[in-house]
Amino acid sequence: MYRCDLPLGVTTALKVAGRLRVQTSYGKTGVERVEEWGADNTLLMRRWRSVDTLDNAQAWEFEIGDAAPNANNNTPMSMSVSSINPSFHPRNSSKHFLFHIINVPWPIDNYTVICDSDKNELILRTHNKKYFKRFKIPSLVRLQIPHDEQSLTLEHRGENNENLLIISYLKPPQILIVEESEKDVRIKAMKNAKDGDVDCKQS
Amino acid sequence: MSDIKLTNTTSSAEVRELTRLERIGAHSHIRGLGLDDSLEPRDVSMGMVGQQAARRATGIVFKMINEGKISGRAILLAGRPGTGKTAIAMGLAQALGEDTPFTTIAGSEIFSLEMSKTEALTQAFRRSIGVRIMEESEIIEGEVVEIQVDTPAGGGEKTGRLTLCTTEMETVYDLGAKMIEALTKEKVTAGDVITIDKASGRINKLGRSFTRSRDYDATGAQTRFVQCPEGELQKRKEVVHVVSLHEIDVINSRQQGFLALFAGDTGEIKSEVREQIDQKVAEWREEGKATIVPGVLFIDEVHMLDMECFSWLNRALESDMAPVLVIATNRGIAKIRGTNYKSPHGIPIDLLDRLMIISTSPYTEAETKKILIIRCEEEDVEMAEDALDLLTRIAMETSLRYAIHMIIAASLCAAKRKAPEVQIEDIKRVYSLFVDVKRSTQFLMEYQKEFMFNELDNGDDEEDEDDSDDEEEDMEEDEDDGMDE
Repeated sequence: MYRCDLPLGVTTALKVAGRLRVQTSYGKTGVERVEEWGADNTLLMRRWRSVDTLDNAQAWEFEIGDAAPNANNNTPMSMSVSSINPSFHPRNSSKHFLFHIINVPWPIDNYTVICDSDKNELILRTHNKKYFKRFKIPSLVRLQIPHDEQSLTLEHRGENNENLLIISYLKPPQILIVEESEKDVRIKAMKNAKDGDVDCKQS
Repeated sequence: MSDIKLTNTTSSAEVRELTRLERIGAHSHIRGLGLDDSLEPRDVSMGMVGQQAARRATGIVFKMINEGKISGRAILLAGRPGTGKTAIAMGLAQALGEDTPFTTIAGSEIFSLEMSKTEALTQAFRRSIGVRIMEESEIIEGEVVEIQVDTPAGGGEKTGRLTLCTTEMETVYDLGAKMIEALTKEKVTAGDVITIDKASGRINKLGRSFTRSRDYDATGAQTRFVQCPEGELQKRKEVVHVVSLHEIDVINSRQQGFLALFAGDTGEIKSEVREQIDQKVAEWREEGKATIVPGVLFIDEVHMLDMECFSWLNRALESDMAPVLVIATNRGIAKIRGTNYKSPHGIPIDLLDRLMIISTSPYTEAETKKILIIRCEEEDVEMAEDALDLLTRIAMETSLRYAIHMIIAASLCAAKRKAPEVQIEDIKRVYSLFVDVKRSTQFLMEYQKEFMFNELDNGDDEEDEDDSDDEEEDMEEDEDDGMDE
């Protein structure tokens, strides 16, 4: 999902349950992208899949949104991350890249987010050594825009056992321009898309 | 002071017992070719003794295989029985390491009712060609903080929790029964640093964390201390793995649908499948996704192959995907199987012409003694010096294999009379209890008359012969009836 060398993809769109589902496949590379857009043109989910050397499809990687629960229960190791742990959920809004971290009851001064400029990554640290995450913003990587500490804001919601940390990263102007142009591709693909079931002629 | 020493030795002995899972085989003392960096053979090293010339030659073969450029060369190891031909091949396999495919078959293995001779040989050839594939895999690497296992009161599957940490974070994992079993088997305890491969679930113990180094004193000499891992628990790692062409063949030749129910064994693989795979592998090579690792095919007792196999080998060796072929035989001038012609080593001249021949020479007395000492160590047997001298003499007069087989028998004799080490009397006792080939032949020549079926030569005792023949025929008929039903 960090690849910037992808050829032009073939995009198809379909309306499913009030959401616009956009599927793009990138020719011979075997890379596939699926997006879901809400009614008010917000990106709810974007996931990527590629193939390995032996042409086996890999698991979906979620850039935005969450994998369905139990999605990786078919691994042979019968071991899964417990639900009591902090976990990382990328989200999106029109102005910001958002990252929700849930199950973090500790107050706001427990967290720092810095930018590792050598690796072009953001690092979230907790001072009580409970959670740590290195992450990149795929959209920035694809356009080769360096991450910037100044665009970051942190917010913690601890009331009502919400225990949520929100990292927001202000989208730079280049990103907003690209997103606007991608809208056109979507509208084009959507022209043929109908709501509901696809026709299946029985003849 | 003495107490500490005692505990140390016992714990290390215990560790050794635990780590040894394999049984002691005929060549399990061989750990390599015993060559130094300039490929010169050391006198006694890695279980190898003597055979300097043969080992020097094998060293050059080793270099050739390692560079991986030359395909389809064949090396013949020729020599009398018990001169270390198989040992040299095993040493070569060990020296090449796990990543180089090394297939060992015996010449008679290819004669099977399930597949043709050439199919069996093709499979053996393709087993010896590896394809190195790069893949990214996810691993979990961390120090164990706590393992907690709950056994439900009413029976049922165990559940558990594993807490892992790095210097920066901590995560709790829910465990299923399989994982709990795996963790117990690996004896993972709090303070161990482990990695878990996400795809296969394989657990690897890296060592104990430095922070736990003063927890208790009873650590064995083998315990390794490592730093607690840094950063995130889940890491992506480039892993390289080698699969053989045969494995790719098998995966792609499985029948689909209900036919798969009946296809227990792989059986014969269609040549179309092979062609497709060769093409695919060639594509991967061009794209840089995979590299070819040419390996070694070792055929022991090669004189058991017949004329067809030899001519098949002639052609197969010319392919650029052929592995390096190492064959061994103990025959002199012998009949080629499937023909009436005689040829050196029982191998046709045209194939012999393509071989580089390494010959092994009989061991000297001093070398024989060293081998026996190594075997005594391998089988954990203490032997007195004079007993060893006697055993060496027996080995020189009879055969090395017979002497090696006497070691464990003699040690059991010694154990029976509660002696700490094997003495001359044990060797003598075993020598009298078990006869070697020479004595057995001599005995047979003297008392041949008293064994069954010797009448055929002599022609007397006709009555007895008839009786026994009738019985045999009856038996055969019975068997036939059973088959019909």
